Amino acid sequence: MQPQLKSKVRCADRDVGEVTKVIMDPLSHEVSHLVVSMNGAGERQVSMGSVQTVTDDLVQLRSSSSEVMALPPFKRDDYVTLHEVEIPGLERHIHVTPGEVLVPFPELERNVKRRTFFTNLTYVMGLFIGLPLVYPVLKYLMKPMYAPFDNRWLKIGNVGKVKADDAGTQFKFKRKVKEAYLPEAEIEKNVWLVKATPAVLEKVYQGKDMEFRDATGKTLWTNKKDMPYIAFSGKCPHLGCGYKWRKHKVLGPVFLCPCHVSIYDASGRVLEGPAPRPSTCCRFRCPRVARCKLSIWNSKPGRRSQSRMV
Amino acid sequence: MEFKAGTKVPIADGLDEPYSCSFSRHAANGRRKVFDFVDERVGLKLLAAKMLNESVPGGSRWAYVFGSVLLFIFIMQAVTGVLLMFYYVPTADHAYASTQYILHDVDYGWFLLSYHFWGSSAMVVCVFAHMSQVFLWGAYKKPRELIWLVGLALFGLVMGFGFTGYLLPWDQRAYWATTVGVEIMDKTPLIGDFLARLLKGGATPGQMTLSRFFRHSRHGAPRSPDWVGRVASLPL
Repeated sequence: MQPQLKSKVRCADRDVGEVTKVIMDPLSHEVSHLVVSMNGAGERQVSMGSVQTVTDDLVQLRSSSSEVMALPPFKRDDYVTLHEVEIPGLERHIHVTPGEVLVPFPELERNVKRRTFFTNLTYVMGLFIGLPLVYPVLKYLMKPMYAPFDNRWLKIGNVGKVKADDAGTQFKFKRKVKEAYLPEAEIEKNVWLVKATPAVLEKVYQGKDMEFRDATGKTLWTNKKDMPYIAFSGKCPHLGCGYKWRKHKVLGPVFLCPCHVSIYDASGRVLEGPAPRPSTCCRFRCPRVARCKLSIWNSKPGRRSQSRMV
Repeated sequence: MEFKAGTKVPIADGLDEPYSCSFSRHAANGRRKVFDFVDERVGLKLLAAKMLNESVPGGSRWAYVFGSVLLFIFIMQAVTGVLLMFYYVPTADHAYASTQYILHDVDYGWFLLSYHFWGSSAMVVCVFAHMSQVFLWGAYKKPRELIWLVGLALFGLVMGFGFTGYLLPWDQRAYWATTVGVEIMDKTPLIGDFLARLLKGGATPGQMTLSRFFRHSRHGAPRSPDWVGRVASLPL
């Protein structure tokens, strides 16, 4: 019968304490020593050779209590738990919690720490191999995340077709889109062009030229405040619907979005409805009436700020 | 063995030592606490002991490394494979373009794709080396006959990965290599036509073939680590 943890230890004359730990011999896979707590007087390491009998919860020793007390105190540092080493097949020989089972700390490991050194060296080498891979993988994943804005100029046609002042005229055109490996696609776009009178221009520009900057803050283009044409993005700043130039019973001719009835005047100002900000102005240049170009300048819908969308 | 009370158990010195340990008792306290917290729940020490203190009867040999090398390459194939799937599209109209996109446009895409490409070749080489070692050392003998059979199945799996992965770039080389491979299978008596059609998903190689091959390369993988791990650890 194997000695049990927590069983009482009785010497030839009296009880001395209980078994707190078990020490195994790694070669023979047998229990070689017991660690006995001497009722608060420290721990002693008792050889299995001095054990007389072992029953369910009692270990009977041959020696007397004074002999056991005379043994040197148990040195925990000379042993390691089965958590820290792996001994093949040892579990088959013993049926206690591994943490309580000790085996001698090998002489070879004690001062030289050769194995500890090589273990740590292995970790460091793994780190040196693994860490440099983090950067390429991160760059690989980040490739499409910060694609630049498409700032190309797009021809919208002859603005001569705008007849009335301060009225919206829709211009439809195509924009080419190339995303990653997909073939180039064409999508339909539209803007509302307004040939503005000085009063409306003043409302839009408020005496200042309108600057357009790219993501880095560099100025790409300036819409001059005395240029009579204003190009509004075809998307309602509320949720991105397409809006129309319509006659309102009370407000007169206005831009009207059919989705949630946001209403803008000819200067793009919100007159009514849920739109959070005025209609978005596009970059616009018109060297000749027949050769007008603009650059799509969409902003995220539903926001007060004009944070730009690709 | 008989010991006197209080003496230490004598242990054998040198390489034949039945066990060894690797840990530092004097690590910094805070780090120690965090480590102990994780270790108690995950079993880091046990894992490290299993990986580093594996007892090899008769001592370690370079010839024994191929199993672990295979496991390592396999894990890297899984990692790089998952990364490639961020951009790769297994359809006949985008497979080639997306592969070219990975190679030429995505940062370090060339590196990951080449890693995956050479990794699959290395796996085939290592499988042959590993199986030769097992055969020459007689490691397939009783009681390990079934491990050998599982190893054979894994050999088929590795070859299957190599074959199916080859088609995915969907260039001329990939297409014709697959055509040749499938045509060879087509010549099998009785079931050849069925097998070839099963692989091709039709009479001629096309989108269905690409889908099936991608499925094998991609979804065959998650089921095999368990196998690979078992084969790697069973001979202990």
